[in-house]
Amino acid sequence: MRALCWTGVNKLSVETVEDPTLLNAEDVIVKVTLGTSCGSDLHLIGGYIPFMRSGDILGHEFMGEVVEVGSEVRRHQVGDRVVVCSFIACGRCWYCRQQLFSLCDNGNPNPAITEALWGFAPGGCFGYSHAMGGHAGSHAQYVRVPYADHGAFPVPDGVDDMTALFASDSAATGWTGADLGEVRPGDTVAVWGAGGVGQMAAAAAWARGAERVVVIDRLVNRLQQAEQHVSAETLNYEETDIGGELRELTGGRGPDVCIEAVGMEAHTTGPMQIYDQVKQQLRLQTDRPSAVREAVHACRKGGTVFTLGVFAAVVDKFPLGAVMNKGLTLRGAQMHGHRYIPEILERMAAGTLTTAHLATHVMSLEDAPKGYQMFKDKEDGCVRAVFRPHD
Amino acid sequence: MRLGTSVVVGALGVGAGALVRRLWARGSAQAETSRERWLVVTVLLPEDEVAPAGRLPEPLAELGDRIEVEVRPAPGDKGTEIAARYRDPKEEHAGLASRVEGESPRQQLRSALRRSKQLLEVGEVLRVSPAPHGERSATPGGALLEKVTEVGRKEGRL
Repeated sequence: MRALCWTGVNKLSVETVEDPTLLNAEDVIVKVTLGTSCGSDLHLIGGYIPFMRSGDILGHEFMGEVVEVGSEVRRHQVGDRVVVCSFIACGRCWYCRQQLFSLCDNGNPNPAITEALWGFAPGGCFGYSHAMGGHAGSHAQYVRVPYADHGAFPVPDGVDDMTALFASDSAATGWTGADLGEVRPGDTVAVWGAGGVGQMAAAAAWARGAERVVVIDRLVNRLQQAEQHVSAETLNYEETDIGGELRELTGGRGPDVCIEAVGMEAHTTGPMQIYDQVKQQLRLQTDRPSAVREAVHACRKGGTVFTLGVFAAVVDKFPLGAVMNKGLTLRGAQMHGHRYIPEILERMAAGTLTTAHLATHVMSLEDAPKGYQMFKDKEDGCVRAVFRPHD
Repeated sequence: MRLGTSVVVGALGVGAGALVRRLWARGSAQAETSRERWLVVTVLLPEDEVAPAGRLPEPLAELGDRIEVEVRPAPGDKGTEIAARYRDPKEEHAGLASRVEGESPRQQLRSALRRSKQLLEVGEVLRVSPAPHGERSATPGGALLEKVTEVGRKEGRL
């Protein structure tokens, strides 16, 4: 089959590789219909998460058709149209029973790296380095899906492929941030980042009853999408003082919940951008946390800051004093998609959640290296490059 | 490229630092107690399903009398704890070479505990290999990562 492989820092190629096979009785093989780039892939491609081997297949957000079923699979059969959660979770350990699926004890067959790095290992993820289990990614014509009864979800009739695709990760990640950030009716929610995840976090905030949702970015086309498709107010941090705007918008209080959907390669204005890049280059921090810093400062007293963007290890100049003295709740998580995908698919079927607009550039898998370059450079207003592996 | 490379080295440095701190702490503890700690996993099942009639899961049973095992309920309805260690402390202090090869007794015990937990909770041990992949170029980093993943279940903080 054909697959998009990471071949070195900032190097990708489409290669012919072996087809996947059933390895466990609860596996299915999915013929990938659509897969999308994700901002968190850029951390892998750029070498910021240095646990990739040359030849590893990228991709974790996808949907397709079941073409082969393991002997212990009960909920799927050949021909099912499914969307698959990007995280791999067994559904039966204590963490899965608490619905903290990305923390699954059994989804990462290679826990040593993340135990050394973070203390304990989270679950596995498709195409997200050997630190997250070494599972082959979904930017391929076929992919093996472990624990398929728990991680693959039938797509309802009436939901088109392009809409369903984003239930796999973007929407489920957004739902994770708004839900675990405990957005309540009447809240004002600020979201840093107007990419796919940020827009979905804003949509999830509305779904939980937020009264006002503000999305912050610097890319005009993304802010326009957030306004048009998610009905959010927007702020461009290159044009205005975000802290001042948020205070003005909230009667001087600050947002109740601040969701950071940017991650470890954040940009900002002013000297802190240079400071963070120098520190990163000197290996004194692995991640650039400027959006988190801003969220912590902007959040109201006693509010919640949720880190939804991906971070790898350590950051510098973290405003812990503000967290403590303002009585903030600081929380983060990878996505617990198994918990939210059913609701997301219901909303898609009801027409109350719009996602297909995120797919600004649709192309064959053969063009995926170019697609990722466009995505990285934000060329031509690229919000997501979506790949069709069988075109 | 230069930025990317330096970040890679930085992140590896953070990981290596964590590992060195852990090994250093372990070395200090060894000096004080001359024994490694118990290795413990928690399984989300009641005690009588974890070790029915005292029968241990196969991966642990295979280690026979070489290990001592404690099975006890976990607090807060979190299931059952399985703690294990070698009866003979000499087995715990294998040389670096056997550890690099993934054949040290402690690595075997750690792997047996992890596999036992998966067998009990899920019914089988999750496999990841063989996984499809493109061409692997020979690099020092790739060789190191391959070695690390070979012992992925045998190492870690368990």
